[in-house]
Formats: sequence, structure tokens, C-alpha cells
Amino acid sequence: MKKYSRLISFIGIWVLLVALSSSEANTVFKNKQSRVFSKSASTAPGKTLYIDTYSADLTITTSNENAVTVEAKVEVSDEDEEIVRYFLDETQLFLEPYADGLKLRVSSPMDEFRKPGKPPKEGIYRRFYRGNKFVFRLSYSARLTVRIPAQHNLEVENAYGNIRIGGVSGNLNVVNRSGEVRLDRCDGELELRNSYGPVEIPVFKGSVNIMNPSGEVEVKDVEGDVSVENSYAPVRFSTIGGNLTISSKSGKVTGSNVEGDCEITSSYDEIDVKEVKGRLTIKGPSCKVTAQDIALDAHIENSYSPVSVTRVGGILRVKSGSSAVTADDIGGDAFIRSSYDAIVLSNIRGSAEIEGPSSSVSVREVEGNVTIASSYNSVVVAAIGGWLDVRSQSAGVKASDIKKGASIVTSYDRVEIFGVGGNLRIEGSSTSIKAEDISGDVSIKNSYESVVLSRTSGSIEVNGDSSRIEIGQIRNLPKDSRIELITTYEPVILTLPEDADVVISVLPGGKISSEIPVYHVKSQTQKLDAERAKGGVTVYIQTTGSVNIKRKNF
Amino acid sequence: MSCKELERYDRGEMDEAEFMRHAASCPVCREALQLDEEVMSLSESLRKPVKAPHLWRRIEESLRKEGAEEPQLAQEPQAEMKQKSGRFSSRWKILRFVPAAAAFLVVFGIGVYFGLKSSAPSSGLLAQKALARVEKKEQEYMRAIKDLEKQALPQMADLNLDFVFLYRTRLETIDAQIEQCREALALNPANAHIRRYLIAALQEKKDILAEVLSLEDKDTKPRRSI
Repeated sequence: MKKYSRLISFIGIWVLLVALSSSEANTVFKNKQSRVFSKSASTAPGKTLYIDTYSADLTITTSNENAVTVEAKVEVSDEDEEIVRYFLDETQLFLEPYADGLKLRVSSPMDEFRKPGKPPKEGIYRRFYRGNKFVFRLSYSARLTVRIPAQHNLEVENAYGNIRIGGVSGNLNVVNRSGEVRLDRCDGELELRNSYGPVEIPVFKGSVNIMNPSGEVEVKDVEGDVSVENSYAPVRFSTIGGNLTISSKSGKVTGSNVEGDCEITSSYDEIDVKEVKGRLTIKGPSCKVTAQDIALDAHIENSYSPVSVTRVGGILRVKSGSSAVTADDIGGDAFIRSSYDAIVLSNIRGSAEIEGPSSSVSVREVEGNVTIASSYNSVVVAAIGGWLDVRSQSAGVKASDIKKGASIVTSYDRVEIFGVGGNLRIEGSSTSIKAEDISGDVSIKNSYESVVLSRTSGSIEVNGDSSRIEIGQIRNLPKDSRIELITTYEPVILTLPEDADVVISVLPGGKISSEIPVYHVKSQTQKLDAERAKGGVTVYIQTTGSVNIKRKNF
Repeated sequence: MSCKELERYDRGEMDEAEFMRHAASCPVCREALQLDEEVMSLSESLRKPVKAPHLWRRIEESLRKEGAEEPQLAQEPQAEMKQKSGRFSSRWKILRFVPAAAAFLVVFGIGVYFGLKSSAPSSGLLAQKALARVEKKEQEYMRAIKDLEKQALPQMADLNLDFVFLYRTRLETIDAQIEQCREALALNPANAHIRRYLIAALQEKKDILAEVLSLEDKDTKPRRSI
């Protein structure tokens, strides 16, 4: 019961408020009067209506008649009732033939005041002088309701007021300064200039060109191309049938579903784009960028804010600085450049090329080759269908499941690599190196830190400087392959398969312990070559530390 | 339709508290007040406020205190009614429908009357009193902006060049809008539409200056080139 009681009260109050809000408000105020003017003139589809107003709310809708009909309500207020009356008496509504159609304008004594130079001190105008000083308190407001044929061109020039246009098809040029502008279910070509106040285009069949520097723009369900120029306010879009171009200085840009290409420029705010059937180009310094479901290529430039890209059908290019970059599910190649923040790539069906000074890099599931140039932060790579090439200054590198070969250059950190389908080349300096499951040849250059290899299947060449070398669990030693292990001060531990056919030469500096006979040589030039090995595997070990050679079945 | 009390209030013959009590039971005055409030709040609907820094919070606090009396006065009769309604309902639960239905019939009748009488939209001109209040608010904004400028502009000079360019051009754009609105208002002072855009521009300028002051150290330092 309580519920119904409240409901009845609510409905009652609502009816009262609706009624009051739509009632004549001007009767409330003293010395305020309004007058309604009406005009009509015949026209024809395809002609143009020129509207020249300054401070008016305009509502333009369509009718079935070949005529332009106008109803204008002009309100005037002033401390002096006589001035109000005089102003309204002098106000006229004109609807006259002009160029290829008709021109609509409201003429009032205010026109004189807006003209350059001083207004005359006679007639109504002298009333605005108090002690030879110009004092103006008269105010006016106009509301125009215009009806035109559905197929009609429009040229609207206004400054302060809201503009609503509904159902008109033709060339539509609208210029306003401060006000809300809305075009609903219109058709044709739209050129719209506004400065302050929101612009809303809910449904439009045709191309749209909007310039609204300091006002929000919302565009949706447009069948043609859309171009928006804006500076500081948000731009929203959805379901654009053609190409979309948004040029903003520092506004938030969000939207989805563009049939054609999409080009967005902004800065210092957010750009969020979804479902583009064509190419996507974003230039957004200091913009947080999110892009999803781009059918063709995506090209993104930004800085200082994160970039997140998901599902791109073509090539992805990200050129950024000091930004975290995340990209997932890319149909083509990915070219990523950033710095000082994390780069994370996954599911790339092409190749990936990454340049990330001071960025941590994480890459997984790439069908093609991966090239990484970084400096100090960690590199983690997994499941690469092609070659891996990492060039780093001092990054730790962890890589696994590389179908082809891998080349890694780094220093002062750790390299761990598991599962390489081809050759492995590592150039390290003071790098702790661990490599397992390498199908091809291994070539390693290092210093001061250990090199530990296991489950290799090709030749092994380690050139270490004060590096401990430990080779074990060799899976396969093909004929004519070779093992060359050179270091200083540190031990070399080599465990060979039980059945390995090897010829070993050692340039000793320390204690040698070997389960296989070894040839002692005095210099590297004396090492046994392949010819002397007679088809077996040549092994050469050189260290000033100890040598330990064992046989073991793995 | 006119109201003598509103005219008295407009002429300054009635104080605000008394007028508010009257407005609680007078639809004409409520509408006048509604227009007043509309003008004051429209600027907010045009632009979402940004986070304010400590300085602006202080300024805003003082503005809020000034305006705080009105809603309190307007709430008094409501609170009284609620109290009475509570007492009533505890004894006469079944009769809850009677006042509700009566109220519905009365307001529905009034609504139909006014609805049928005219369907014209509300006025685009401010009443004298509303205009005075809006102008006063503008002055308050201007004073606040001046205070903010004193602190924000020197700080802006320390920002990196991109930020300086961005904020300068933005402030220039807003200044141009303020200037244009002022020019238009010089010939049309009570035009509600132009007033709301002037207030929106002033509020935006205040927000931008506040934003400059709220920038953290990491933003203000010139950034490394990429």
C-alpha cells in the first residue's frame, strides 16, 4: 500500500512539474514581453534556405509541402517597459528570395548595435545613454521553428544558440559559435562549424565534416566519411560507414565500428578504438592508446602512456617512447619501438621486430622471426617459429622453444635458453650462460661467468675468459663435428657419451683428469684436426684451470 | 502568470529566507528559482569538472559556504513534512491513500490546466534577480581565477615545453571565448544561453589553472627526449 501511495504522489508531482516547465515562463517576469512572428514562402526540393541569425535557438524539421514556414518567438526584457514594446515593434522576420533559394533573418534594433562604430543617439538608442555613457540592460532571445521540404539545402549562420535539424536531405552547412548542435536522421553532405557546446550526429546518410574546437562531438551511424576537428573536448564515434579522421589537440577519443580507414590524432588523453575494417593510424603523444579488432594494418605513435593492441589483421607498427606496449593476436608482422617501460607481445603470426632501450621485453608465440634490441631490462622469449636475434647491452635473457636458430648478445646478466631448433650463438661478457636442448651448433663467447651446456646435438665452441665451462648430457655428436672449449683460470668439465668417437687434445695449465686418452699439445696450432681424427669428433680443451673429462650414458 | 512576492523579492523588498519559504508553496516562484539554479548548474553539464588541487578546494569551499544557506532553507519544510507524515502514518495507515490521491488530483488538475494552456518552452532570458546573482557568481569566478593565476602561471613556466604550449593555447582559446561572450553580453546581458557559456568558460579556465597546480613533480619536469 505504501508503495502505491508513493507511486501516486510521484506521478502527480511529475505531471505538475511537466506542466509547469512547459508553461509560459515569460509571464513571471516584469518588463519582459514576447512576440511570435510567422512567415512562409514557396520553395522546391533541391533549393537552399539561408538562415542568418545571431542569438537564436533553431529547430529545423521537414514537411510534405513545397514551402518554408517559420515561426519565431522573440523575447525581450528591459527595466523600461516602453523600450521593450518599441524593440518588439521594430523587430521583423524576413523570408525573402536569395541566391538559389530563400533567406531567413530576424531584423531588430539590435542589428544597429552590432554594427561597427557607435550606434546613433536617436530613437530607441538614446534611451541607452545615461549621462553620455552607454548603458545597456536590454536583452533578447529568439526561438525559431522552421519547416522545409525534406530534400532541401541549408546554410545556417548563427552565433549563440542551440540548433536542431531533423530529417533534412541535402547540402547542409551549419555555422554556430556557442551552442548545442544536433542533426538527427539527415542525409547528404554536412559541413558543421561550432566552437563551444556539444555536437551530436546520431544518424546521417552521407559525409560529415565537423569542426568544434572546444565542444564534445558524438557521431554515430554515419554512412559516409567522417572528419572531426576538435581541440580539447572528447570525441565519441560509432558505426561509421566510410573513412574516419579525427584531429584533436588534447581530447579523449573513443569509439567503435569503422568500415573504412581510421586516422586519429590527439595528445595527453585517452584514445580507445575498436572494430576498424580498414587501416588504423593513431598519433597520440602522451595518450593512453587502446586498439582492438583492426582488420588491416595498425600504425600507432605515442609516448609516455601505455599502448594496448589486440587482434590486428595486418601489420602492427608502434613507435613510442617511455610507454608500456602490449600487443596480442597480430595477423602480420609487428614492429615495436618503445623505451623505459615493458613491451609484451603474444600471438604474432608474422615476425616481430622490437627496439626497446631500457624496456623489459616479453615475447611469446611468434610464427616468424623475432629481433630484439634492448639495453638493461630483462628479455623473455618463448615459442618462436623462426629465428631469434637478441642484441642487448646488459639484459638478462630467458628464451625457450625457438624453432630455428638463436643469436644473443648481452653482458653482466644471465642467459638461459631452452630448446633451440637450429644453431645457437651467444656473445656474452660477464654473463652466466645456461643452454639446454640445442639441435644445431653452439658458439659461445663469454668472460668471468660460467657456461653450462646440456643436451646439445651439434658442434660446441666456447671461448671463455675466466669462465667455468661445463658440458654434459650431449645428446648427439655428428660425424665431423667438433668441440672446442677455451678458458682461463677456471675448470673445464666435459662429459661425453659412452659411445662417442672422439680425439681429444688438451693444452693444459692445471690438473687433468680424464676417462679418455688425451693428447697434450703445447700450443693451439698443434691441436688435432679433423683429418687426424679420421672421421671422429675432434675435441680441443685449453685452460689454465683443471680439466675433467668423463664418459657417461645419458 | 505573475507573483507579487517574486516581484517584491526581485526589487529587494523581501529577504531570501522569507522568499524561500514562500517559494516552497508557490509554483511560479519555484520555476523562477529553478531557472536560477539551471543557469548556475548548466555550466557544469557542459563540462565535467576535473580534479581540483588544494588551493582550489579552499576557494571552492568558501564559494560553497556562501551558497549553502539556500538548500538548507529549502529543505526545512520538507523535513517538517516528513516528521508530520511519520506521525500521521503510524496512526492512520489506511488513510495514506487519501492525501496522496488528493494531491494527485490537485496537481493533475493544475498540470492539465497549464499543459493545455500553453506548450511553449521556458524563457531564454534571466530575471533581474537571477541576472544579479549570475553576475555575482561570475565576479567570484574571476576573483578565484585571478588568485589561481598568481600561483599557476609561474608554475606553468617550469613545465616542459609541450605542456607549456598545450596549456597556453588552451588558456588563450578560453580567453577568446570569454571575450566573445562578454562582447555578446554587453548587448544582451540577460540572455541565459550566452551567460551559461560564459560561466562554462570561466569554470573551464578555473579547472585548467587548478590542473596546472595539481600536476605532480614528475609531470612538471622537462622530459627526456625519446
